[in-house]
Amino acid sequence: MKKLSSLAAAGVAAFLLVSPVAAQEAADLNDLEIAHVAYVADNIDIRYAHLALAISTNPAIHEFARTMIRDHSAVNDQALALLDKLGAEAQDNFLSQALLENADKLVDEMAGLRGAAFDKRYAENELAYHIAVNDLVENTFIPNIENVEVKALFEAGLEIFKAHQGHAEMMVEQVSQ
Amino acid sequence: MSVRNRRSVLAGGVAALAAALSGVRVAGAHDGEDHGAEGAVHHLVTIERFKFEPAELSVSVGDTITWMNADIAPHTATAKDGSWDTGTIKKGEAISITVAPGMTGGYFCRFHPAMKAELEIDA
Repeated sequence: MKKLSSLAAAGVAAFLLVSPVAAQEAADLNDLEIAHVAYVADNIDIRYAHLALAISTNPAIHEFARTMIRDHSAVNDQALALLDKLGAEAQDNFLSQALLENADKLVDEMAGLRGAAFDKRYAENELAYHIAVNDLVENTFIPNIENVEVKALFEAGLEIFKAHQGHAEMMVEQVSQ
Repeated sequence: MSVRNRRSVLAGGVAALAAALSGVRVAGAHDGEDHGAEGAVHHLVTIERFKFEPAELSVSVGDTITWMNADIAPHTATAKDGSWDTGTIKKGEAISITVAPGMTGGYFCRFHPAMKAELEIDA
């Protein structure tokens, strides 16, 4: 478990890229900016999953990656439907930008790996990424979201992402053996 | 595969499920079961918050089990030994299977392997 928690700490730091200042600014985002961050975060995980399907030859990694694509797409579909219903549009912001920048670097790094080295890096990143995003969603976003329907969608999303976190832990253990 | 699948696309929740299954008469409040004309029972398993509810179910050969997915994420109910599988059940959908001999034992969600449940076939 020690290994997992140090991974988690590294993930949160890498994910937020920065200082307590940025963490505070994340708490100041409005609902439409929060929705944008979540949409971007979903799409980043889908991107990692497509990379895994292209590079990995491990069936368990493929199964996991397909679940990430399926579930994150389902959440994004719900988010778009809700925004449409509310007549609103998600708003780009500094945190979405930071996430994308970080994801670009990670994709570049992982794209250079093959075989077991890729599987290990992918699984570890999935665990760190879900821990970081879940922390952000649970402790920063959900308490600050004003719209009841948006909040409910984030709560349902968090449930899914926590299941992914557990699944990612299993994957990390599996590829480390 | 001797199981029979039926997919019902539902607009919303259990009420719609009951409507979709009219003719099969779903689950009275008494014991969550409905005894059909030939003694076959209809069982409802709700998938919600990444859990099968009920997680343990006693069934008889010839009964019908309906899995209804109330989550945003798609799920499956799949035998641990691979002998039966509902296929993908999306949000708000339900899939029914008629219980065949040998369906007893553990099952799980292929997409989320931590989701586990159990069927027991009564003699």
